[in-house]
Amino acid sequence: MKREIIQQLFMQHYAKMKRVARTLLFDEQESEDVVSDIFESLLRGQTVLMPDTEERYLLTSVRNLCLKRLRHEAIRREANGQHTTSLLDEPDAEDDRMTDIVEFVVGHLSEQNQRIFHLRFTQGYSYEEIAYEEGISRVAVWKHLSHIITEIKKHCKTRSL
Amino acid sequence: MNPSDDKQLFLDMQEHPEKYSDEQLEAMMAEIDREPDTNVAWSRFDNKTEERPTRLWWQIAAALGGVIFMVGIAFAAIHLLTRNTPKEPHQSSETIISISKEGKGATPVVFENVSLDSILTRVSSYYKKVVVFQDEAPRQMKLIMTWHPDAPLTDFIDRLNAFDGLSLHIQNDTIIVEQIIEEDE
Repeated sequence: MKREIIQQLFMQHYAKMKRVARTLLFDEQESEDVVSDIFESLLRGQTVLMPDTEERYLLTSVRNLCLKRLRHEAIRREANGQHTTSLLDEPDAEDDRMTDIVEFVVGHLSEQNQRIFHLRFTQGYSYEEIAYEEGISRVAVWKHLSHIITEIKKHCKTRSL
Repeated sequence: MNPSDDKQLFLDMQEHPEKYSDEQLEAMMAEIDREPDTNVAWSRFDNKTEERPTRLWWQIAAALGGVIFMVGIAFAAIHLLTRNTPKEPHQSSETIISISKEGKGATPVVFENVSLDSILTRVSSYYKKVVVFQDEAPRQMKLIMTWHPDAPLTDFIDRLNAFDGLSLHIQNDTIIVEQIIEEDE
């Protein structure tokens, strides 16, 4: 993809992408790396983004990369006790795991939590915007998102994802 | 409070929001949702990914490497078909040491009875290499070994080469795997 197009996409979507990454990773540098990696792969690759789905693609990519990092971090942490890991993360299984997480969200979270998940991680809404959309306080949004993320992490752990 | 310096606090607030006041949660949300300076971020990205003049030379070198690699494969194929002489051990024409940034302090991985194909899929993606099996038989060899992601790829390849009947070498961005057929003296 041409650098000029990447620049346009970057200027348009960077803030939301960073917001999604921060929600999951918090770490400033890690969040920056995730967003940067996505744009770099677009720059080096042949992917063509459709204007009506580009935001969804970019934000979903951020979410998936962050969840992948969290999962790897959890595996590393657990393995520290044993100094080994099993052959859990074969690259070809990554897509299946991400599908599984989305299925989990749809199948196990309340309708409101699904909406909040979608608003935050697919549409990049701020806490303020979600609060307005759902008619609840920002603190309530925080608690919903905390619950969602904790449940996803728990699910990943249970399934050794 | 400076939340950006305290990931632990963030995680605790996420797992136990009931322990914190609304003001503390609000402050954390403000930190997470603060608008980044997109122009500065773009400059950093642009600098990091800009095409440098030396890149052209790397491209030329890579292209030449590709030609040499293809000639090498053709030669190897002819060599295997004719089998006139015992094979000589392969030598890597280039040693590439590549450790990704995620490798710092990475935990060793133990492969137990895992096929060489699976092992190399895992290891090669980490070092950003592709694998070419010039012979099919080694794919299904089941091995027991430990991989240290912090160590150079060449160390791992050297250890694989210690197995009978197996020859691996690195050629540019490719790990080439061959079967060694021992011939009677």
